[in-house]
This record gives sequence, structure tokens and C-alpha cells, in this order.
Amino acid sequence: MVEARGVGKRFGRVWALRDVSLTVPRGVICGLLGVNGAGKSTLLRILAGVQRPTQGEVRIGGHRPGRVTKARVAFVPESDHLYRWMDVQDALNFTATFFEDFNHGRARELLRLMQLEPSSSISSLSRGFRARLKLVLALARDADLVLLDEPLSGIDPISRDRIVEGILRGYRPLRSTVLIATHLVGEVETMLDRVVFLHNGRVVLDEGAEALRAARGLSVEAIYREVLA
Amino acid sequence: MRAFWALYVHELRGLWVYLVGGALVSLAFNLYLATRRGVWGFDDIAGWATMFMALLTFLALVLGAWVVQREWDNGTVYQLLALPVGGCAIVGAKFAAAATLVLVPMLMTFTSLMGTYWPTGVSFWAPVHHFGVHYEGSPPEATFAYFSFGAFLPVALLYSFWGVFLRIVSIWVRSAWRLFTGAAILGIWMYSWRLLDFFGRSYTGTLTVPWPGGLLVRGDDVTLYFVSLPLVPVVVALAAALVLFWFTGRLVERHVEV
Repeated sequence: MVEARGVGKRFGRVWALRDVSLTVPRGVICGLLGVNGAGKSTLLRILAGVQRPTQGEVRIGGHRPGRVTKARVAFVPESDHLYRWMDVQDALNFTATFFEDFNHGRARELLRLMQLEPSSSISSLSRGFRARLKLVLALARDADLVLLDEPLSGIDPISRDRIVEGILRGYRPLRSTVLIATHLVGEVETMLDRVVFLHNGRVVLDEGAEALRAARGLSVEAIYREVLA
Repeated sequence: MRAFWALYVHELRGLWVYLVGGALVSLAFNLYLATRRGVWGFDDIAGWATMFMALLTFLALVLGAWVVQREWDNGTVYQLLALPVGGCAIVGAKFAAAATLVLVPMLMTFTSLMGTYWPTGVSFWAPVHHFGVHYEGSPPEATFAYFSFGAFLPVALLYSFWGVFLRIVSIWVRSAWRLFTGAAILGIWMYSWRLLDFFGRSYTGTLTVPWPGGLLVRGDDVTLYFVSLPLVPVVVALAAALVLFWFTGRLVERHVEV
């Protein structure tokens, strides 16, 4: 589903990513784990098609990032990208207008799960509820690839549980590929099939979560601390 | 086209406060001007209305840049650039929204000015008059001639697009954007005076198209007058605009990133 070959991204003189190669098959929930500045967000933005690699090549379902892949990719950036003048229903309608794979029934289910009211104004929502809404907009689509950039960062524990539940309920059955970039490893560990550790823009570890735990006899979070300390 | 309309409606919904605000300001201004009829002369009223429209054209430049900039400022650019739509649809919707913000108060001002003087003899047969004088534009016996909607409309459209274009190019250029934007704004201002001059001229002996140029005053008679635009430069300008539009769309699609 996702194929990156020798991807590098430079901002001015600084390389945010160097020679990243990665293949993530369909149906896998993959954690991109690393400290701040590791290059996780940059990699997700490149996969989403909102940034372009300085070197290397990326393919999503065999296509280069562009209009075709954008129609099949659901991207949730870390920053607050919602239009404040909208209400929740407006945001759903806006997404549904541009993405044919938007599933209104699932959107309603997810709104209930996330305890969001369709008539609520986005500007009146707290940060946690806006994070929940961002996730609803992504998970309500039958997207082939879901890219979540720090979905739990700065969110209270109850919202975090809701979000994790939303990801598991919303996407496990559909065999969509999910890439989650985060440094809150403990929070997402239970749902990860595979983990990729990024450090200084390079992949330092890429393995199945279960195999990694079995091989080292530690949790992914403990291994993360060990590898990236 | 569907994506363009969806984005255009989306833009207007996001800008409704400014759209309604602009219309209300224009309404209040024009109501005031209408109450001055009989107190001020036509040239005073038309002069203020003309100045208002001229200001709106400059505002179009700022608004064009602003509708692009606010996406970056608000962080909503992620949502915009992640949409599966072409760059031309994004640029077109931005341009159309900025132009609408300016054209609504401009059209209101023009209509109000015409409405205020209609009973005293604004000629709605002006197009016939125009053809009757073989596209020769403003007759020499006119006391005053004011550029109005007809002349400011293309200038406002040009500025709206220029604002969008400059902001997108400057995001692409990044490090040199201030210098680039400053030079470009200066250039377009200088060019705009040439443009108004172009609209005010009379052309004879060349293939022309009629265009509403402004208001003419002959004593008490106020007439909408048409000027003759030479066809070749107009077609060349439209073709250049389309190429520039396509280029800006490609920039958004292929080179502009968050």
C-alpha cells in the first residue's frame, strides 16, 4: 500500500528526512515512533501529498502522491486544520463533498462514540473535542490509507481512550492501512501491528510489534526508550 | 468545475461576515450619496462614487492575497492541499471569492449612482448610441466623464487575481517573498494607470469591442458611455490571463507545500 524508497526532505540546510525506505502492506496499523524532530510529521505530509520529497520516491497504491492518491488517503495533521466558522455538520458535509468514500452512517456512529453534537460550532469546541472531530472526519471515510499525526498529543486521557477506541472500531474491519506518528508510545501500543522508529530523519528500527516484544521480552514503549535514549 | 463551485461556495461561506459587512458599508455610503442629490452637483456625487470604486480595486489586491494567506495563518491549508482537487480549482475559488467581495459593493455603488440619476435622464440606449458613433467612445461635447463600473470591473478582477497569484508565488519563492511581492505590487500599480488610460481612449479604424466605460455628463444629462476596445490586445490579455491562471494552478498542485 505504501512504498517509500530513499526518501529525503531538506528544509534549507537541514535534512528532516534522510534515505527513508519503507513498505507498509494493506491492513496494517503501523506506528511511526520517534522523539520531536525525528521526521515523523514530514514523512506523513509527504505521503499525504502536501509536501514533496527532495529526493527519493513515494508510491501509494502504485501511484505517486497527487490527486488520485489524495482521494484515497485520509490525513489528520497535528495542527488544528478545521475551519472555525463551521459547525460539526458543516465539517462533515465539506469532507463528504470532496471525498466519494465518505460514509455518512459511520460518521453518525463515530459522532456518537466521540460524544460530538452535529450542531456544535467548531470554534466553541475544546482542543480535545476538536481532536475527536478531526478523527471522525478521517475515520468516516472508506480510505485505503489513514495518516494520523500525533492524534493524542495534548489530549486528556478520556479523549485519548475515545480516540483509540475510534481507530480500532472504525478501521480494523476494513483492512485499511493506518500510519500513526506519535511519541506517546504507551497509548497506542496495543493497536500497533508494526513499529518504525525514526531518529534524526532516519529509520533506526522497522519490525512487527509482536515479534519485537517476543524477541526482546519488553514492551514497545520500553524498547523505544532503550533505542532512542 | 464541480470542485471549483464547491470550493467557491465554501470560500464565500467562510467570508460571509466580510461580504455582508462590505455590502452594508457600500449601502450606507450610497444612501448618503443619494441624499446629497440636489445639494451637491452630479460631479461631486459621481466623483465620490468613483473614488470609492477606485479604492475597492486596490482593496481587491489585498483581499486576493489575504484569502490565500489566511489558510496558512489558520492552519487550514492542510485541509485545502489534501483535497483531491486540481490547483486551478483552488486558485479559481480563491480568486472568485476575493473578486466577489469587491464586486458586490462596486456593483451596488454603480447601480445606486445610475438609480439616483435615472429620472433626470440616464440613457439606457447608450449601447445604441455607442454603435451609432462607430465605437468612437466619449463624445467631445461631454462636460465630465467618469470611469465607473465598466472600467473598474476588469481592474478589480485583475487585482483580485494578482493578489492570489502574488501570494502563491511568494509562498513558493519563500525566502524572497517580501522583495518579490513589493516589486510586483509597485509594478501592477504603475500598470493600472496604463490600463485606465487604455479604457478611456477612442479607437477608430481597428477591430474593436464595445465596453461600458463610465458615465458622461452633458449639462443635466447623465449617460452611460461605451468605449471601444481594440480586439487584438483584449484577446491577447485574456489569453495571457488564462496561461497565468493555469500556471498558478500548476504551482499549487506541484510546488506549493505546507
